[in-house]
Amino acid sequence: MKNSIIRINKMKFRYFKKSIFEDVNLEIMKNEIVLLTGESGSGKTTFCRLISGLEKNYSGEIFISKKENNSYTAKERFMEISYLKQEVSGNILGSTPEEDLQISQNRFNEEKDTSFKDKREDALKIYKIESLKNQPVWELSGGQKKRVGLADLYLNFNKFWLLDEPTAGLDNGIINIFMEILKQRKKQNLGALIISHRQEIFADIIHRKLEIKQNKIWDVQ
Amino acid sequence: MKLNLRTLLILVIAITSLSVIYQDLKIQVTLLVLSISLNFLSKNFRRSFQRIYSRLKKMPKLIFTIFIFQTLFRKGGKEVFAIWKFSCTTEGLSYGAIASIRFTMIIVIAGLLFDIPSSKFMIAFRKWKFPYEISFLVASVIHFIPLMGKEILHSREALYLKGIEIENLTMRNRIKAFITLIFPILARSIIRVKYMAASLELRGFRLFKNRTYLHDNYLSKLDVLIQILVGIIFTTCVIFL
Amino acid sequence: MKVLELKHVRFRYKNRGNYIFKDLNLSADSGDIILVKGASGKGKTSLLNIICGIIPRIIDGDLSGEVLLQQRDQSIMNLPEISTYVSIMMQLPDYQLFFPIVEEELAFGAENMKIPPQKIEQKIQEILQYFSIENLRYCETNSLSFGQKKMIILSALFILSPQIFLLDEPFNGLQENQIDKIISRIKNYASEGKTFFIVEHFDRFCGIANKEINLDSYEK
Repeated sequence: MKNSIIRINKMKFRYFKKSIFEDVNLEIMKNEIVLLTGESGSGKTTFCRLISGLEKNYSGEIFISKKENNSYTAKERFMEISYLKQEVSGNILGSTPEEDLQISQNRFNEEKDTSFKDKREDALKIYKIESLKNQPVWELSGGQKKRVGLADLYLNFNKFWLLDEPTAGLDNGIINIFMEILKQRKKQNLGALIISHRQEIFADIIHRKLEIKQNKIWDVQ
Repeated sequence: MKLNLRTLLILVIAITSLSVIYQDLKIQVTLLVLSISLNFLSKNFRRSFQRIYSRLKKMPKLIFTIFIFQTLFRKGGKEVFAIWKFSCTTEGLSYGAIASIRFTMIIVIAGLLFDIPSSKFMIAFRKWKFPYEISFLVASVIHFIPLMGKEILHSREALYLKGIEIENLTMRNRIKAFITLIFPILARSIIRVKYMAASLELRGFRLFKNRTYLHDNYLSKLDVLIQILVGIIFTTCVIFL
Repeated sequence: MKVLELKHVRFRYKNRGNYIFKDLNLSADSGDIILVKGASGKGKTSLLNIICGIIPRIIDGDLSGEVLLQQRDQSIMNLPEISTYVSIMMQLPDYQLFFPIVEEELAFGAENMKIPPQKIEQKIQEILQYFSIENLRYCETNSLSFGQKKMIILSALFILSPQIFLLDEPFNGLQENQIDKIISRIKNYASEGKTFFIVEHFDRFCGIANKEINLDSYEK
């Protein structure tokens, strides 16, 4: 049986009066790791925003799992997809890394679980930011903020990941840790869509490469 | 019709001052009609109609409240009717009408100056020999509001990406969320402004007393004509009315 | 010729315990392309901010030691004065873009430096053509993508063309062909005597640098 996470039919989208997508058809499976490429300004980030429900005014169809994109609530979509923005401060809500991960877990006390604390510690430890967990996020460097975003992502291990420049600002040590996690996920059939200016890091792990060109999304051999 | 910003500013200033000076219903109506027609003349017809409509749509309650207050608290002329201790007089009614028309007029005329980039204002102010720093200050204030808005939008999106919809939280948790979010939003906006200021200075802002401009702007014959006409009409009004 | 010297620089952020730099010494000559490396949080951005004076003028902290720009003491200059020697491209373009239209952003620096309008026009055209982004000239800066915004900031810097360029992760979010163009322009400028500091993790760019600063080794 086909098990797709993203299925797009004749989708069109305009942004600031400029056409970004015309008649896009695409299917991505739940277990696929895909690299999305294209000139800057071609719509890579816009594509992630469409999939994660931040842009709603498209025409045509975008299915996430089995349901039309616009019929999802934020919470339902969150169960399927996790999106790490390019400017990672756009993912961070709390004043400190600890508080931010806490919000992700308990959504302002809507949810409770005794294992939350351990999971949080794990995530912070993996990306080596335990020592920063109580520091104001606006004092962190770009790379440190990115690690907070990645730790948050780690709490959502089982979801399909949308990653917009996940390695930007990271040194090789941290990139290796991140790649290990991607490999683990691959073994467990967990997919991701990756945008990166450093395609060579991901060359071995990806199943497929896509390119945005002339307002359409093409398979690249 | 494309007018120079300086001409627009003169028009706006003249019309609003006339409106503030005169407590006369006929003048107020004339000014309102004038500002609506200016809006139609300055941009393309459909868009300016949409903009005036969308702006006024949110206002009827406010305009109505102004009308009621003015009507109830101004006394004079004949009594039209009375409810309990409040009496409604002819003069009260006309004051109410004037105040609400004036308010509407200001909203409409401000439409002339919307979506003009702040740099255009800076050039206009410079031509009137305002110091660059002052006009820049004005531009920065205009700039800070959308910047805060951007941070708030960021936080809304971050909430959404974490699967949280504020509307679905209980009242208690909603307040908790608000308190948690407001601090980082403010902190980030302030840092952004600091870096922005540094970035501008590191590109030579205020290095010399004067500077050059890529684009200079000049008045067309129409601009000069309108500015003179506005001047004449304005002084005649002030002297004779 | 020495264009920049740091002597015994010691620095920590306000309200934070550890010193980021304890005794940092470095110098740069004209024509140098210097790669700044180090794990995140080791002070790559802080180093650039010290050179261009954002630290301590905008961002507070305990700073001691000397910063010399072409043998002149940087600590007594204000930011506009420093801008005649140094320009910075920050990590996030949104911290730098101020004007609603791209063209104004590009012209701003040159206008402040009292460059005549025809010359500014010429420079804008040249750089936009070089990066093949002429189509962005009259765009709203808000509508641009992350990568496009970075290209605009870079273009603004090249138009301004100071002695020292500080580039904080300039290639992040850009495509191969654009990166190549930027690199060849950097080489070009360096051969004319300009100095570049580039913060970048990507090994591919090590090739263009003739010096390297590894901030991990300053750790204590």
